[in-house]
Amino acid sequence: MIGATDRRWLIAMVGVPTFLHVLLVWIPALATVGLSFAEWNNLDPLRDIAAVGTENYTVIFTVFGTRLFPALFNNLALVLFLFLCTAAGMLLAYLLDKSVRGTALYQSIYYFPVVLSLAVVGFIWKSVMFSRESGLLNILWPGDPIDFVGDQTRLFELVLPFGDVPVGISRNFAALLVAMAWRHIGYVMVLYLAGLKAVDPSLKEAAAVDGCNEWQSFRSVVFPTLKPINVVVAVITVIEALRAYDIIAALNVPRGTEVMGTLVTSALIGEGAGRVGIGSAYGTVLFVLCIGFIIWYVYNNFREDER
Amino acid sequence: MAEIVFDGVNKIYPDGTQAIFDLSFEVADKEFVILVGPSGCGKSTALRMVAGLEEISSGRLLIGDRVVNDLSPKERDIAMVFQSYALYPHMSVADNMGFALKLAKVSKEEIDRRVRDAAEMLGLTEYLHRKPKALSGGQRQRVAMGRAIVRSPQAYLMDEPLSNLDAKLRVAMRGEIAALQDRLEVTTLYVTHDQVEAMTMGDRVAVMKLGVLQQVASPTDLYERPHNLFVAGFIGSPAMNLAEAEVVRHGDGIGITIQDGMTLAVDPAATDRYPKVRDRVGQRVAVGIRPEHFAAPSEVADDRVMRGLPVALVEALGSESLVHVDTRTRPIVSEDMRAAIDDEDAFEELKRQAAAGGQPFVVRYEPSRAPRHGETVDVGVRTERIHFFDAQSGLALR
Repeated sequence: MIGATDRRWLIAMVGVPTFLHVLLVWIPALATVGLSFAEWNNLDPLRDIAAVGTENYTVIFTVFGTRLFPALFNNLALVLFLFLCTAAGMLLAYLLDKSVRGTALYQSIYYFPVVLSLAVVGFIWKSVMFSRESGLLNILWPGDPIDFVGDQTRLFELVLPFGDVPVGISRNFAALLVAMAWRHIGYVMVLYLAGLKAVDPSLKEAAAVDGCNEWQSFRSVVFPTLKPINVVVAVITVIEALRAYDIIAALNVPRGTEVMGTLVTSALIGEGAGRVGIGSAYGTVLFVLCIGFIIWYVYNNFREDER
Repeated sequence: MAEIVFDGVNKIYPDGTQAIFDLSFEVADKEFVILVGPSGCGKSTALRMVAGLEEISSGRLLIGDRVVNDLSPKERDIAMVFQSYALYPHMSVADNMGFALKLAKVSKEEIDRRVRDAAEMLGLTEYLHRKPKALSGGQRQRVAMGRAIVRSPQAYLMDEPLSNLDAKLRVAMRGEIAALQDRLEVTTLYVTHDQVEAMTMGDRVAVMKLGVLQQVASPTDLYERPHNLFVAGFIGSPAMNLAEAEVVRHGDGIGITIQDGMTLAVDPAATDRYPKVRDRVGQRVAVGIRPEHFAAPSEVADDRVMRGLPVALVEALGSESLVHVDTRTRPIVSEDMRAAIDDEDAFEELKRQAAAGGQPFVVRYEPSRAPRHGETVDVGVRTERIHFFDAQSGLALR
């Protein structure tokens, strides 16, 4: 039985964090959704907020389609690319789990970038690796210096069937992908390493006795038993890719590397800014993508579990 | 079907510790051999070497007539039942059982047929679609067995398959596994630390201690003719009473002074079985008396009775009563005993008793004739059943 004092404590322990969470996370999020249907320049008083219906969405999908579609395409490319990094991280974890000599050292090296914020990762790559004058890559490169960060020519270009906007991966975005991989691989590796340590070693032995080779044993036995971690890693990977902002902001490149996150801020801050409604509409599209994916993915996984 | 042959097999780990010393024995075709010993005796390592999960440092291992030292587990065509069962948690019972066949590219219909046959044999038919986590411990154990059965391999290897079950289920499964092995006639090597399993299940038992094979024999042989002090102390529950005693002349034959002022006449039948005892007159040897080899004083000659023993504890088990009586006999404190007892606290207690100069003997009584706690009893010894061992080497004086 819970006594009266316990009950009060319980209410406080659950209530205060819930209150703060709702106040600081959900109210702003819902307010953003609300503002996406309005016009406001964020300097005028609140009473000047004017409802405009779905006009902001019409604008971002038509007039601003030249910004929105390339940004969405970059986000999508990030999702796919980070999944490749996830596979690489898993492979590293699998190899390290086989107790290679010096596992702890490799583990620390690969994990190191994860302790850095993405903004710092951006600065490091911009100045130490990519810099045109003093970057490591350009020093090693025998030919003419390459402008990794500034070159926005596209590696390939696609024309979408709608919106009539060409999209593609620019060279500077490709360089940025490398910087993100540096961090993401280590992150995923540590998660999988922890998961692999928890796999009952006799499962692998049973698989070997049953006639599995290394790959079959991983694919049919080890990987499926890592399911809880696979779910977490998949969610992390998608969210990381969709919400990417800080590393791009840190690189501070004018063009070529736009993603949804940077569109939001550029609508709010700086030259030509002050369009809260437009920024909110970008934000809401991103929000729907994230939450939609999470709900769909987690729902599917839990449903499968109950079967 | 095939025999398994250990031929001078050693296991030395990279850090230099040796787990198996020159192991040589054979599991004949269709035979059920139990590998038993206290923890750390190398029995599981030996089994894992057969499975190919542990490298063989030197010596040869044969399955059938193939030397398998350098073959992968897959190439050895053996099935193993793990202590933890090692069922694949994401697969249904049917998929668990059919996995090896699927890997071997057996047709779907054939897999289905063999899984159903095995499931029927094990009473698992209605659980085939379930995941392992929805099964009880006993059912999981059966699935693990089923996974081995469907493969019809050269040999079954079982690593303490019953140790995770509760006592009642363990007794039931003991019988089932033995019956199943008998029916399927597949060569089986079964590892356990439980000497009751060892005695009740197999055709032959191999006893190991600290990486060294002690004796391979049928359960009866092992019980009645232990090769050394360790086997004598390890096999049998309750354990054999072991004490140091001096061999003396007694009438025409010999006797043993088992404690100060108490000499028992040794029946010639015992000295016939242990002829070397006759050369040990005047020396101290280790003697062993099983709890069931005591008798009422009236049933044996007067010079075969231990008199005035206080009753310290009575364990009434229903079918029998185990009576612990205090004696002033000297316990044997040796590495053999440490290994046989396999419990540091119990061994410390034995050392303490040795220092104090006395230890309890366990005597088996018919429940109706059992004394009560606090009484003093006279106990006859069937000295024709006494065992003799060298006190130093522990070897039977045969």
